[in-house]
Amino acid sequence: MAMRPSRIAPADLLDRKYANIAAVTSIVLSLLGAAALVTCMIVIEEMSGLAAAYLATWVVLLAIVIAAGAAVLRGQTWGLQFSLIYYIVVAAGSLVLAAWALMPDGAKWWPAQWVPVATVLVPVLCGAGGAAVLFVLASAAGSRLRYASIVAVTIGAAVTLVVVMNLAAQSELKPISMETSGLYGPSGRMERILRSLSTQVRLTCAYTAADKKGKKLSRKHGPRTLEFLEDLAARSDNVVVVDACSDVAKAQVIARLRGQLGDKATKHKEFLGQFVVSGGTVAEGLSKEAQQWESLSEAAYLDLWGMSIAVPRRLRELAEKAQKVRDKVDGELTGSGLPDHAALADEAKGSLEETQRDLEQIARLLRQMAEIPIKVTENHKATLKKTQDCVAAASEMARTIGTPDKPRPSNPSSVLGRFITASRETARRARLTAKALGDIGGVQNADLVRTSTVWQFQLPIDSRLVARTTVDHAYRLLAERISEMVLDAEGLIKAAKKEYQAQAIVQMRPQVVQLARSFRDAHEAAQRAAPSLMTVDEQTRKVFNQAENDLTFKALLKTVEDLLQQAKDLPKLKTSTLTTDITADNIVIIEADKKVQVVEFDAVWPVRRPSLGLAPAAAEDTEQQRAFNGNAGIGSKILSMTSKPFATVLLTYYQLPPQLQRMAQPAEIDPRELSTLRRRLTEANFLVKEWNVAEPMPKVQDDQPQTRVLLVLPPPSPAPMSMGRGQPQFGAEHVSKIRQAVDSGIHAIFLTHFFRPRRMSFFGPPTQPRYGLSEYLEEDWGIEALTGYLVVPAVPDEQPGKFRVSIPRLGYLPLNNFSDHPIGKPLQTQRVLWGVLCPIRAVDSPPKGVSIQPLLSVPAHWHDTWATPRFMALIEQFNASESNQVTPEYASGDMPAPFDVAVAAKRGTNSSATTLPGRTRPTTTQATTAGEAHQVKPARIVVLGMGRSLTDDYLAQPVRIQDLDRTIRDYDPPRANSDVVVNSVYWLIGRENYIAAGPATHFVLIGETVRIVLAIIFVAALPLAVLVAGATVMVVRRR
Amino acid sequence: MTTRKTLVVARRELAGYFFSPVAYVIGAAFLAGSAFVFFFGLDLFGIPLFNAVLKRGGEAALRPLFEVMAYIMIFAAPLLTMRLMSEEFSSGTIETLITAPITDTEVVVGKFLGVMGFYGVLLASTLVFLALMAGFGRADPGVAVTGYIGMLLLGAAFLSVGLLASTLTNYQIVAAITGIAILAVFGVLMQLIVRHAVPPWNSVAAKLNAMTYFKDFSRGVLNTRGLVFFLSATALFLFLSVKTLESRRWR
Repeated sequence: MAMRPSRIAPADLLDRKYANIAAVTSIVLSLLGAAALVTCMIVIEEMSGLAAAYLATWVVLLAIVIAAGAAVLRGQTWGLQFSLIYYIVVAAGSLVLAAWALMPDGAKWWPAQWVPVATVLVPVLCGAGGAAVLFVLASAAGSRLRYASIVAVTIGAAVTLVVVMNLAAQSELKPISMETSGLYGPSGRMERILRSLSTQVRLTCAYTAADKKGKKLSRKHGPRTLEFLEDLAARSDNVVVVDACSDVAKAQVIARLRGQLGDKATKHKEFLGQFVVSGGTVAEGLSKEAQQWESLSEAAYLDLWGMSIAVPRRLRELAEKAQKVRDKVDGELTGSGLPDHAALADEAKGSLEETQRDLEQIARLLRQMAEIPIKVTENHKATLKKTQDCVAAASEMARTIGTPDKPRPSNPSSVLGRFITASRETARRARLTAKALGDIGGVQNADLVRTSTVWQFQLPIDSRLVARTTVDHAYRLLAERISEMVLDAEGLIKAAKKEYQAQAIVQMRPQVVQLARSFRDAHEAAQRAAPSLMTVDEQTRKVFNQAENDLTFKALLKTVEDLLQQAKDLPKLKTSTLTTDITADNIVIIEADKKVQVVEFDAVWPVRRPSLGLAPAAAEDTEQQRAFNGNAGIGSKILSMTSKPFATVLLTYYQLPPQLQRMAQPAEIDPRELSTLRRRLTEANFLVKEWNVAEPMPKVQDDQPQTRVLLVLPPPSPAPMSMGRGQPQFGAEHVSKIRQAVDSGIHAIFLTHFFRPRRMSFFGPPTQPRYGLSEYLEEDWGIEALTGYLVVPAVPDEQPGKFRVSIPRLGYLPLNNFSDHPIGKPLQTQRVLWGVLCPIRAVDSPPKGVSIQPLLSVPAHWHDTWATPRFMALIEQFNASESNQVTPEYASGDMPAPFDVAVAAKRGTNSSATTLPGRTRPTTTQATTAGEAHQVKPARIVVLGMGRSLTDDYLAQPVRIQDLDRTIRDYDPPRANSDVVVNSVYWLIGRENYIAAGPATHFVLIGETVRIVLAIIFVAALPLAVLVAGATVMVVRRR
Repeated sequence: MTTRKTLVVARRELAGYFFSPVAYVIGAAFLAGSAFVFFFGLDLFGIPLFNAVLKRGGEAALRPLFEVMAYIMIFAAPLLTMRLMSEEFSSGTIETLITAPITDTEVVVGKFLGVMGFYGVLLASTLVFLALMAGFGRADPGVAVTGYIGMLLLGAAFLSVGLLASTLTNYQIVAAITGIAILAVFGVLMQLIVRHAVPPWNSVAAKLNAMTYFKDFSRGVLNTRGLVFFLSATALFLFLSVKTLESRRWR
């Protein structure tokens, strides 16, 4: 394009007539535009600095355009070139913006205040377009300037057309996914969840944008998660996606959520605001009180209890704590994070309650203390008289037995008799004195008096032992000691010879003298303590006066009480982990119906091979292999936020009370082993509860889903004869409960599997345990669970027609031959692995009204897989073999393929059992009264012969598999196993449209050696071959 | 514009590639680069840019392969196209072309089809990776089909950019650098803006980011926005190439 400016145009470059018209038009348009902009700048008062600068730039640009127009009038071509480009750009820009504004998505881009600006786009487009045409005409026909002008216009038009076409393509037209694995896009179930949305759901992707140490994962995971969310938005108008991968964007989201959550907790916000103001006052007040207490240095009376040190210390602690909580609340409320109003209110309330409790306790103590001097003044004389009497009695007691320097008594029994009488009197007096001393400060204040320092007393028990006790308790101890001596003396009189009595008296004399001395010491201690307790110093008097008039901490307590009253009136907020969850990196925030939830990174990207806790420390730096689980992780949250749980799944099992469990047979599947399955069911929008059939069925609350589904675990087998006699066991009454539940229209899934033979007595051989529900299933549904048959997966042997079974391969069978039944069809492409399977067989003539359909079968052409009832024989064969694999002989009784391992059954209203006049079957009738009318409602059941493969061992742990090269390696757990149960529940409750499968993740299976060889070929050899070919061609051509 | 003349030019250009050492070098580098990432992945200063595709226990997905090939094309496309017009300008053979009974559009489209043919051969050679994935994992046929459609569309757009760069200068190396710079803006710079800028600029950048559209194809999604983006970009840059070539007549 010719853009070389020339100061003066050659005469043949410009068409003077059109040049003048174009220049004048341009000048007029520019002046109008500048006038409009200046008017805007004057009229709009609250214009931001940025907007003002933007408008000013336009005014300057327009001034240049006016100058360019003037140049054209003077015959200068640069003015034409500049003006032409300017008007092409303005016309193209206004056309693009106008088209954008018309797009359904484009409207969202226009801030409300820009809408008036949008209306001027049409006149701007017309004006600029017209001016551009005039400037093209202004160039002389056939001149280079005319060519350049036309090229500029056509390029401008082409670029505009391309931009508008792309804008149009951005919106509305739905993408077509040709992917078959479901790895990247929304699953069928997710699509249904999106279709059922009636409320707007905002999905905010807040994945860490930049790499940080230990967060290398987010590089690929963030974009892929965002891409998935955008796919959801493309499929539903109710889904809005916000990209908050930068820190700034995440802060904006948190700020918005702050406002949103604050609106839901207005009362809490009010209280916390008040707490921030008054909490500071409380802390200050506590500090002031502490200072005042510290100044009571001369309050000797209070110091009897250490109050002048303990009280200010505690007050300072309370002040610090109150200030700390107040600062925390203030920080959370004014900070940039998401405040947890409920938790903050609880913390503030806790701090206030603690302050109130301690202040009230101190005030109460002071009131009690104030009574003590009065009471002691009243009681001390009488009490000290008693202590004096005790001293006299003790002296008498010592006199009766004699002092240690006296010779052996000649009549010891008489001495002992007198000693006993005197001792009894002394002990009696000591007890009375103890009581009087205890109550010296008033009966209510006995404990308080005991804690005073003056009431503490060192009581010498004997020459070595000294007990630290209170004065009143000392008398009790002395009384007890005397009583012991009386007992000894009585024993001596009754049983000892005279010689021995005399010797004993000599030994007792020093002890009795010590006791008498102790009475004197105790009396002196009481004498010393009484005046201290009676005499109150001036400072203490003032404190006591305040306490007696209930003025202690009055103002502080009033403030605290007011705040606590406000806290008591707060409405209950749902406890949530949102505030902590939202601080995590790599999260998806879901907002729907004023609810906010966070989907954590691990929920969207679970670790493919969970660590068994044995990973080396170095592994922390390496990237963990994760699988995308967005459909389940995000879909389930959306579902639970926008709809109530579809049904209650009752995990049905039989368990004895804990005290009887020791004697019972272990359950084939413990309910605690199903935590992964429970989580999957919860994610699929079911409420999971438990029902121990030994107890009544749990009632469903009004706010819980009324539709119930039983997930029946295999009951424990009967206990061995020698152990289980008399123990309660799973039996007819429990079967009857399950039958009644199903007959009342509750659907059920029965989990079963191959039961390993067990010893039923100490000496007998292992026998096959019985499946407690086999008769029920056979009689009511025509389904046989062959729990005595183990499905044996084998591999073809070198010998034709024979198959090898290895111990490592016995634990899993990769069987996904699902039928077209709604439960199984989506799983036909999934990776599933089963273990300890048992066949499930439909009887030839099922009960009328019952229809049975297979779900999963071992196909007829799987000659290497069969079911055998001879498990023990197989084990013996392994035991006899030197290797871990055997080639078993096929025997009669073995069940060849095809056979089913899972079936689904329906029973309609025309069932033969619709109205049963009481059941007469021998095993299950005990709990059913004969002749009792029994209404049977339509029901559905699913019987799965792979129950063992649904436990945590299978679903959450790596699977150890023997590869074809016989190497044992760990593989990802078969997560799709649990989909069988989830899909079954959906089918049972009639929500087939939610049945789906997770992504069909396939993994590369290649040996390292093969991989290296291939890498060398493709990275080096093949490109080298291309280079050699090129070189050969060159050489040949040169010849 | 006649198809026959266009095809004659295209055939001549395609044959020219097979006699050009540079094309073999670029082809070998393209294959080696793709294979390297396919087997070993790519780290930059410890940051994993691409994960290895054929790795034991790895996800059997072709998407990373397509994405790395798309990034390789940022460099490969201008290198393939740099000689298309620049060589004609520098050697003077452009005068013959201009005076020949053939329009500028036929010249540009013919040369574009020629380089597309060579690109098609290059792309076909990567089918071996698809075969490997099918053998050792499970290649999703839907992703394979859309991935190759995406690679063709992206290649067409990138090659048209390279062609425009080649019409702008007489020097092949300048043409290559110019083409790489333009493609880097739409393939790398926009990606960085998408990651680090705040709304709405990251959204605007996402609309201009060629890799955003290509990612739809690489994960098995056929999207009109991607189709329109690549086809319109191809048409626009070819149009600009024609206009640039035309300008030589009247400049």
